[in-house]
Amino acid sequence: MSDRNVLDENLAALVGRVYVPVVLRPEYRAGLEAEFLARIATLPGEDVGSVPLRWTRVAALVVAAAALVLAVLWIAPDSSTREEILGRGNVAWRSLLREKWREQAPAVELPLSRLPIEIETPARAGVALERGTQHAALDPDSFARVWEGHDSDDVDFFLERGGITIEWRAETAVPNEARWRIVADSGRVLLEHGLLTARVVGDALEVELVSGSARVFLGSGESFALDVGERGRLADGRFVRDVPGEESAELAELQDPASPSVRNVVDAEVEMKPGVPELERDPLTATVVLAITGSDGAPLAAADTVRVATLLITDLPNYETSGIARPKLRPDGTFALGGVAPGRYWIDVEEPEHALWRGGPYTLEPGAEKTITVALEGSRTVSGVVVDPAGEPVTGAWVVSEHEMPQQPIAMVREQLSPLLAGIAETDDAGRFSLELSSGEHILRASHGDHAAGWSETLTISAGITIDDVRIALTRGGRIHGRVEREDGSPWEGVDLIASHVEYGRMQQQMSYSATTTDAFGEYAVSGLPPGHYAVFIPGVDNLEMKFLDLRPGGDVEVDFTRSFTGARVFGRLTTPGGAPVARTGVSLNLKGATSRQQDDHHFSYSDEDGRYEFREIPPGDYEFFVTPDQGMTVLKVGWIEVPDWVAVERDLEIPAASIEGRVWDGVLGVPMARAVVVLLAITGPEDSGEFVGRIFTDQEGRFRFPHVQRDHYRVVAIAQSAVRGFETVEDVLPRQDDEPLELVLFEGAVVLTTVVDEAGNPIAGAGVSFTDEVGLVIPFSELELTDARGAHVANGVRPGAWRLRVAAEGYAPQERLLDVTEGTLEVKFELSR
Amino acid sequence: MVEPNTIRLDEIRIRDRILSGDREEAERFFGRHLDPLFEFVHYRVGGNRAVTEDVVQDTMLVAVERFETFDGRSTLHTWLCGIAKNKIRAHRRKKRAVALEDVLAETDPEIDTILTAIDSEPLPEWILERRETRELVGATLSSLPPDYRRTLVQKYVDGMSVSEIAESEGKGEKAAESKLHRSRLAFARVFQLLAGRRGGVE
Repeated sequence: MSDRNVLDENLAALVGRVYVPVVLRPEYRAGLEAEFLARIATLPGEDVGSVPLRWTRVAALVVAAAALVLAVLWIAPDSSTREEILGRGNVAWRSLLREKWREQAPAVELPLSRLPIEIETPARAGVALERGTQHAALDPDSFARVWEGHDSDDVDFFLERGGITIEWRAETAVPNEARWRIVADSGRVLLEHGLLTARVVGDALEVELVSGSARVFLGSGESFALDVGERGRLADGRFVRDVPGEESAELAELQDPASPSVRNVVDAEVEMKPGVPELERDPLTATVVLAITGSDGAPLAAADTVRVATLLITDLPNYETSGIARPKLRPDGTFALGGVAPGRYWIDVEEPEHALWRGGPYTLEPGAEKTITVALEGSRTVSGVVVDPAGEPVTGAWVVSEHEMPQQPIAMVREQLSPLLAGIAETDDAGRFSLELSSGEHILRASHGDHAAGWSETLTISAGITIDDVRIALTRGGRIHGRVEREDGSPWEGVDLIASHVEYGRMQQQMSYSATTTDAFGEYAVSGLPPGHYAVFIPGVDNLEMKFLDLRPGGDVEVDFTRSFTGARVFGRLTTPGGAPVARTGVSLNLKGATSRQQDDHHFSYSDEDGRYEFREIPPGDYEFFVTPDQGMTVLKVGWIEVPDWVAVERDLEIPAASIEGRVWDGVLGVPMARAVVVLLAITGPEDSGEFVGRIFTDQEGRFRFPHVQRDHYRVVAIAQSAVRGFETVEDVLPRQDDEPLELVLFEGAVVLTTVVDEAGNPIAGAGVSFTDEVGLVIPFSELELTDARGAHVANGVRPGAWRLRVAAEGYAPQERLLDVTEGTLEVKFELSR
Repeated sequence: MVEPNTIRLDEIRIRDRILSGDREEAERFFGRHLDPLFEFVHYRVGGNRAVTEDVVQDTMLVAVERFETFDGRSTLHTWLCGIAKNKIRAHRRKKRAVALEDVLAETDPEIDTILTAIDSEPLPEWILERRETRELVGATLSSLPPDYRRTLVQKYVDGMSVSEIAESEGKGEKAAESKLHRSRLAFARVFQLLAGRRGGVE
């Protein structure tokens, strides 16, 4: 046999029989592809700042308007936590494929992809989510998980906190089309079309069908339609309809007034498809399986009383509660908690008849199960008394075991504690408390608003030992105060400071903190502090300056800071001409003349219920003030602000009430054109290229409305997002009140194919091609108005009419030609000579 | 042979189309390169699926960020593998270093001798049943350029004839035959190299 035949035979055996291809998981492939394509879509492309000068201001402004519209995503530094992002007033979101949190301005919509994502909105701003004709808005101070079904295009929203509104803008229910659903423990609500709102209220999900049709599916398999205007609550596997005017016993039962205020918990982090008897393994999240035995050594049989907290370890020794949920009891007697994001965790298990159990740290991998053996112990009662510095009992002090606190550092203010399973006891009129604790060593901390916190000695708790004589003495509260000023000595208002108390030499290092803000005089004060060693600092600054001090009981220490100027505070109130507040509206400051997408040139914020807005650390300069109602769908300039180089500037703005509205049609198909871009330009005369004022997208019916427009003359330009239609302009538009709305019709655009060659017939690559219309405006038809390697340039969507086409290349004399463009394709050839 | 300073214009064009926002081109790129990249990484991280998925994911997303830097002096597959190798090295640094004697102790000199004679001696059946052989085959295929790999899979896994391979590639039979010949030789050379080293996959 020849060598070639031997090789062939061996290959047939090795590749044909032995080789086993490596198979990718379909979910992994789909998820990575979605992430890949989403990233591709956000590539910066050509820097607008380097656009050739022959672009007119109109073109540049249209591009700038588009830049405002597109999701201006910026990747937060790796060190930004969710809390830091929310603290800046922005939306925090992350793909469940990766752990890093990203940051986004609240007034800018967040595009959905096939990838599951978590989204959290800050306290004062919501965020829009959009895909095609489906629209959702997550309320401020909300947390949701969003993902697409593996086998369909359905989108599920698992709302953990806050509220959401979803809207399907189809005229009627569309069978077998992708749906949007709100998913909860007890069932799910599927929106067939119309508008649905949902809000987490205690342990229930409150739902209201505002319009259209929707269906409720319960875990029991029962399903039913909701009536328009109907409201109800999903909880405990039931849906209780809200009957106006009638006191519902079931509703009252759901509202459990006896639950302690700190137990503001929504059961979450259970399997993502409630009602399914077997826990479906999600390849992107982990499942915790707990084999739990009671103090008698027997396996725990009931699941109703067990609660599990997952404490995400951020960086040692810090950790925080990432979720509290009731696990599901499996047929084999174990308890399972699915849908946990990958990471390192402490796990707390609570069962009322037993002491709190904590284990870990455990590393939870995506798509994997982690089995943990949990041996619950009977809890031991520890009781004692809390007294004030004079030795008198204190009523209403709250006592916790620092060993069982799930949060690090620990807030000194009860309202700042995150949800926890650990017990909190309150002292009675005699100053006495009682806590159920696990075996081991504990240090108890008592706090009361009028005094500084106090700690017990280290307690060793074990079976057979009774501890009922713990005495915790609250101390005289000390005070740290001071002033923050700029380098020129002027006061600095609105600076956040933290006073952090660190205790060493204990069972474990514990940190407690108290936060405050400087007033108009740049002064701050923090009172009620226990004695000890403190660090005082201003968070979030680049050059962190930390000052250390020792505080005696009842002591008073002054700590001042001098900061370099990093930008002014710009604040004010937005109102309508009638004085009504323009509430919950996105606002943005854009540096005048900025056409790049650099973060420093654009600042976003949100007006509150009273129309008040605030920007922090704005560099000096001239800024255009935009309002962005409709979660960024509409962009409208309403004024100018000159930001000086000092601390703060207050500017109240009256938003005009006049409007310009109209409709854009597809002139070829004779139907309304959805998602067309409509640009509003203020003009002083027919030759004026116009000053950009606003931009909006048409809705599904092709309608648009600029809601807050000054009394002025405008040019309205409608542009189809696809390049196959020409654009349309309406001149000298005045804000209308009762007149008919504007009608803009976009007809078939022509294709102009331009070829540029030299005298020898060789193509000239990189030649500039520009189109000027009848009015004298240069209109760009592609991002690079240059010929390619074949000397060709293609312009799509050219409006039929008279155009002047100019070609210029370095080293050649430019040429111009007048064109009469009609529908179809026009080929134009230029032969340039030197 | 491609000159060192030759620029692969077709690959550059693909890059440009993707950078200009051509979604279809980006989808094609993804579909074409994901599986070969995945196999490339798989055999270089000990077959650990979780690590492979992480490395491939990081590689693809770094590629998005660095698309502009691709200059056409290599193929896109080679470029991606270069990124992946850095990621793999970073992963290896996190693991405990494996002593050389541990690696050598795992090798079977007799197997190696047999496998390095792939182009001159028929392989005995018992060799084909060894796990090490299967790993070597996978590692070898993952090291070849994607079109060589594809040709060998078409021929020996799908059982396609030369004319069928030619038709699927849109090429003539002569060109397809020549490509198959080069693919076989490439496989043999890489296979012998890996079999000779046994455990030192580069």
